[in-house]
Amino acid sequence: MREINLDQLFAEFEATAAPTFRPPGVSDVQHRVRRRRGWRHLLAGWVALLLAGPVGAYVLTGADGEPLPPNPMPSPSTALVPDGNLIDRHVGAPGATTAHVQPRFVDARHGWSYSDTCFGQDLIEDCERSLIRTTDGGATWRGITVPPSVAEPESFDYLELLPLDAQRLVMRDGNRYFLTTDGGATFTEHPGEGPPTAALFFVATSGGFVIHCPGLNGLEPPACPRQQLTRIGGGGGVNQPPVVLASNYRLAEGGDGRLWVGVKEEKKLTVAVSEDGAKTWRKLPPVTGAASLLVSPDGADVWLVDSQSEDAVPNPTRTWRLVGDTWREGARLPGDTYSVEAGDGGLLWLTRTKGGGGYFVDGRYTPVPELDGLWSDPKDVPYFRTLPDGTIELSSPPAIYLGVGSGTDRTWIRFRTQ
Amino acid sequence: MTAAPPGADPPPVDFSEFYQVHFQRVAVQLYAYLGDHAEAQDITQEAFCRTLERWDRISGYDDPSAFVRRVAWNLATSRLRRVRTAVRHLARQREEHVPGPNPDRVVLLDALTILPAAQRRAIVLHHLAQLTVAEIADQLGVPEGTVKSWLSRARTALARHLTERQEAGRA
Repeated sequence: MREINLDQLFAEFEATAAPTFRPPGVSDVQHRVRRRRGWRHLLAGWVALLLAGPVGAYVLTGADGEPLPPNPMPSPSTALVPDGNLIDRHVGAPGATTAHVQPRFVDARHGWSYSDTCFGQDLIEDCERSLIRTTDGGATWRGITVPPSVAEPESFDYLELLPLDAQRLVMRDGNRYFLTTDGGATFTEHPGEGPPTAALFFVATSGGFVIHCPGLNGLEPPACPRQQLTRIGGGGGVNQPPVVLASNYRLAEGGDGRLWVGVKEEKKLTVAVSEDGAKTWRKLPPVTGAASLLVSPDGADVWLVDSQSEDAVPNPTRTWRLVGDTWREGARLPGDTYSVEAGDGGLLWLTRTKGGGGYFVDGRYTPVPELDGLWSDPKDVPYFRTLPDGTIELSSPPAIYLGVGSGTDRTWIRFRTQ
Repeated sequence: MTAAPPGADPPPVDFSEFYQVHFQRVAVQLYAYLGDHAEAQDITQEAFCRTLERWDRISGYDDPSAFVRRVAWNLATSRLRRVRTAVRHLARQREEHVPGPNPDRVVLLDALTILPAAQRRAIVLHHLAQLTVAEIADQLGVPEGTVKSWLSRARTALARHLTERQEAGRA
């Protein structure tokens, strides 16, 4: 075998190949960075919008008909009670040394979370992820074995948890979906362009209704002049509501099965309701000044609220409640109301810019003592969210709060991730 | 992060200068490793994007080029895994690919394709990135002995392949 001078061969290769690469320019690098930051921002905003939307729009129950668990009272035997009724619980499997992200609860008992060491890392090999799950309201957490490509990712793509119910979880990174339907015992992997059907339930109502652009599936940000209502799985007989589904709409389904669509056009809000699974629709009188539709988890109470801001922050003050087929304006909310969410029992759950949250009923606001003084900066005011079983959730990073119980009789639990 | 080797150029503080100086070197390394010019260009640009995002910190490193090189190689390795997956998928579909023309400039590329990825990574890092065995071991997270073994096998395989090619060309 003849002597081959590899050093010379590589040097010649570099000399001839290097000129064929032309750096696109620093401006291109800067543009790419800005575009990625913009996309991350858009994605984060879109996910936040999904998560912060009205409960009815994202109510999820077991598609397999599994009944939702009853409202459990938290187990004080495993909790620290720092003051009053507020119970502190830590998010993490026994012995876990890494911090977990805020858990995502699907009801008072079941929640998912994961730890992620990727944020801030420069090298992908320093990046590890692990998944945990609770089935007892966060009293204990159990580690779940995830596919290697989730545990040791090949890219820094942000991982999203899209929990559907106690057994079903979808995880999405930049290129793939991972689905478990058995509480994390097994996972299936799906390409980004072909998400599993179950993933669509994350943006659907409990009955599987979703509004999306034609040709898309509802998981992508909507980008079309007119969207359409469909039912996952193609359950037939879906007729379009008698409103224009452009962009400023809300879809909600209450526990009573009634389906609601609210569309804001200029300065008025028009609501259509279907009581037979979108086969027929009834259009309600438009309300000038209203901006947003709210439906309680049980579907019994339907509200409209106005908005004092064009931003994502609504800052509502006026309320209308549906009585029969008529909207009746009610008492005004406190002036510093930041956000509002409909709960069961005729309650509106409010967060306030001056700090604290509580409920509004019969024209009177009552603060929740456990939530008093949780935030002081108006930019950090969190939203209430209601879960399908009526549990109240308040996300105030790095903690998350659950109000477990019914009506105004709640036990508040704080979940810390650090 | 490793320190700059003796005699190395002092790292430019300005990102533009850093980009102009190092882009082609990194791209050529990835080209040799991946065998795909467009992928090498794209991944190199992505590595510099990630570097720019952290430039405030990275510009203070002894050798910022080591950072961009590691990021680029990590990206390339990830990309290669996905390509391999796609190739396996294609193989299952019994799709056949016919090699295209083989210009002289890619003689080395052809030879490199016969090497397992780990050996190819090691020999490119050694001969194009000018890394020592210890530096390659550090970057790849393997013992030095493993790197030496990869380099030895790679050199033998390359020499055999290139010799056979030369002899075939004369015949």
